Amino acid sequence: MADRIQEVTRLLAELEAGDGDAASKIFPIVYDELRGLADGYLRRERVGHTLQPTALVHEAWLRLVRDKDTRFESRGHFLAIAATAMRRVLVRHAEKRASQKRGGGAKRVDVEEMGELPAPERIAEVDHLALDAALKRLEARDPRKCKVVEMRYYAGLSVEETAAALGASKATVKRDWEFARAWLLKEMTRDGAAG
Amino acid sequence: MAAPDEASETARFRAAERIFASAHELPAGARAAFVERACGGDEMLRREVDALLVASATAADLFARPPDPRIGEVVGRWRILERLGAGGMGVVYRAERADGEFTQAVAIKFLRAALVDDEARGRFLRERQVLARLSHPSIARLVDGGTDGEGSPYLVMELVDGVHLGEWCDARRLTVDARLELFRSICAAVEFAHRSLVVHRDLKPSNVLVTADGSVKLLDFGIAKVLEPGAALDRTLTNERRFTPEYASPEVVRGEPATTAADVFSLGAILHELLTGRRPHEAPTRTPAALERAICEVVPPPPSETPLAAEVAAARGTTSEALRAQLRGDLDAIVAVALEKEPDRRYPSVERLGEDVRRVLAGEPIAARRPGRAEALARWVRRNKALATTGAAALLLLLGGGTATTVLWLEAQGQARAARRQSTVTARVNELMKALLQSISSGPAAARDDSLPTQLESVERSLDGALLEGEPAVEAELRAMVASTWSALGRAPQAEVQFARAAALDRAAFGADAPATLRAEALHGHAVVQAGAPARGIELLGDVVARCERAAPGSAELALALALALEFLGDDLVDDERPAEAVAPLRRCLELRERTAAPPPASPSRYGIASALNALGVALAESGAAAEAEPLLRRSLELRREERTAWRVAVALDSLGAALTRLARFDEAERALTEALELRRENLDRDHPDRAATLGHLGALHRETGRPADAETEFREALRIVRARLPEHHPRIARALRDLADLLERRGRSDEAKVLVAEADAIAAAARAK
Repeated sequence: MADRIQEVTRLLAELEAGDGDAASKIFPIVYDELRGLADGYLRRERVGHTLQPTALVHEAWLRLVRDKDTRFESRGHFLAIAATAMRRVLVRHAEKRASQKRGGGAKRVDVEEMGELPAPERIAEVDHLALDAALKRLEARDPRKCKVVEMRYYAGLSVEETAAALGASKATVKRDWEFARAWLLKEMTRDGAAG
Repeated sequence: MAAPDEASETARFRAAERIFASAHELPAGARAAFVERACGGDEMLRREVDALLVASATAADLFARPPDPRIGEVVGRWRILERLGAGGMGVVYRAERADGEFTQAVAIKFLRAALVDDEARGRFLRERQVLARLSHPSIARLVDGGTDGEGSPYLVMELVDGVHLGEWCDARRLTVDARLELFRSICAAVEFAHRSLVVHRDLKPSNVLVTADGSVKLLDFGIAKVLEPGAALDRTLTNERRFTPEYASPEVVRGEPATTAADVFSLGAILHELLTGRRPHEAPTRTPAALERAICEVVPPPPSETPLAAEVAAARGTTSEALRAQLRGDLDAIVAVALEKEPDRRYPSVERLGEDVRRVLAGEPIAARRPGRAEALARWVRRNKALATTGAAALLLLLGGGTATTVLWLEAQGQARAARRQSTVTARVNELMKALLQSISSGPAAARDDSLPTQLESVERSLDGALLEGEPAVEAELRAMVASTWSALGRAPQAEVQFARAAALDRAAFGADAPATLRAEALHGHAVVQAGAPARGIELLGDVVARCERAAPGSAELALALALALEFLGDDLVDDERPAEAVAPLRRCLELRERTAAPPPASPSRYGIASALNALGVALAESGAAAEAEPLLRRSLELRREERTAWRVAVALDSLGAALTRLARFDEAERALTEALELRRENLDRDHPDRAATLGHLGALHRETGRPADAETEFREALRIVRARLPEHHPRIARALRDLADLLERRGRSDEAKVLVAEADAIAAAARAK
């Protein structure tokens, strides 16, 4: 654990110094951590338990970095990476559920299991796989918007935090968020209608 | 897909984004025309933007909404955003203005569907009216109210962004004082509601939020009821459980009408939890019935006696022991009065409860309990710490610091016995004083015995100054302390002066008939006798006894004051050689002590019994009923041995030895008196009057057992002591003279005897004249 903390801290420093590769090195560590945390939460089938991505991401931050003196920018970088990792974790869970179910039609995560994860209008469940597919299309067109969605939705960051982490203005983040949400829903609804 | 398509798709994405952003800013009605124009005939682009605008209306929900059919619903002017929680009456949601008129976040509360009958609806509407009247910064405001499409009534309230009371306090490790400050503002809000004739009736920590700026907000006047004249007070609907039992008062639990006293009780429960981290009532089994029984029947232990784990103390920035000490006394008393089972015995209003909490914070005496002198002193010391840096004040404070202990000890002593045995007591005071003085003077050398009178005089000078103006209870405490010390030093006249002033001060502080005053006056009367004026002292004591008898019976404190006065009266009558008259008051004293004593093994009150037994035994023995006295004196000795205080064992042995001499059981008497003298030699200084008393008893024994030479030596030593220590015309000097004269007469030395008798007569005459 101590090694991992050292490594993440070092990589974050490199990332800050402009080494873009550092992010891809941090990612697997954060991903493993989040997956472990999420599995732990989901295994504990306590009544009323909730799987809150925000809480998980922050817990991962505490477990992996934990250094109170770490600069705010580093935290932003970390959270940006963690948001992506969280998305991957949720998708993985959705895939696992889907493969356990009969046939291929039920590619959905039961909201009861995922706690308070948001559910779209008139669909009582979030289709994480459909969302992931739509996000991929969004990323191809506008990577920043995808990032905004990951941070706002998967990591539960506020507009301010997202803006700080991405080095964008709050107005930009807000505009991206508005548009991306509408666009993703439009895409998912079209997929649903088509499929 | 072909490349040109891809390129045009990206271009369309950018265009759609641009147009969407602008259209999104426009009012809904203006959007279609704008989009039409902006797309400039590109049909695919227009369809794309339209789809985005349609999706955006619900997209917000996609990313922030729990599975609740209410979410997203528009009720009245409000759009429901998220579920906040469920209360006794229904479910609460966060909502915002649906018409976009202005941004306002509110809490919207729906009545639980199961409760919606006509009666509930009526109650709900009434609550609406009640709340509409309440406008206070610490009470969540009612914004709106109505009935939804399905007939469910709802209330819209100010959304309070805060955390629960306990959470707030623990997270910040708020000290007891900081918690009390918060509690005071809660009281102020409830008091305001009460003035508007609204009882909350469901006060509990989760109904009290603290906002980021640290101010409190009371939520959920959910079962509040208007105390309007003429309103049907008896028709409450408590057969359904809508209150929170943990904090509910016995009358609410029983379904009786709730008055403001119910809120006083709940506030008491909240205060208990704020202080100790626990609710006052916990049932052995967690069924509601068991809990309700506990609330109605069990008197919870005082906060200072609840288990206070280290983490509970840590959350209050202190240690378990320090927290316990802080709770003991005033806070225990406040919680106890607020949690009285009978509404009439609680604080008459929330205002008074809040006022007492304010007093604790200000270090003033509280109303829940009239403080004793020791507490008044401790409080004064707390408030005047700055004075501790000056010379005389430093001494005073040091004395004061130890005084609480001394006083407790004196209380026990007062019950035990002062009178002619007080000298031994005094040895204990000496020790204490020495320890105190040692710490302020330049070292152990300064603590020599002979420095004590000088120090006492210095304390007296401080007291004569204006230092304690307006603090009569404190001054009385210190003067009584000084008086006891003088008495301990065998300086009866100085003791009398200070006891007199202490009594006068207590009278000013507590009133003439207060137990504290009666106690102080009994001490004073006894001191008068000791100083050599038996007639006047006995008269004073008789007056105190009469006033105790006249005062309302039943108070334990008063019974103790009466017992004390009776014991002094009996002791002093014996000293005045009227032992037969002493028997009746001392029987009465013993009876009182036995009645008020706590059951074993609560020792101090049993030792009070020992003291009364001893006094009665002495009076009986001296009035010719030594046989009746013996079992009493033996029981007293037994209790004293059990108590393991050498000087008190000496008192009992001395009394028993004297009685056995009268019973002509000389060997047993010799053993008792020898042991007594030995103990006194160890515990008293050489010239102590108590030593003289035992020497006198030994002399009388040896006079009877054919050892006149020993007897003469003992009588002469006793005489020397009382001459050295007691005032000039003290009756005990006269008695010592007569004892010696009697012996000399028997030994055929009448001339010597006559001189002594003449002196004794002169002293007796002078004493009577006082």
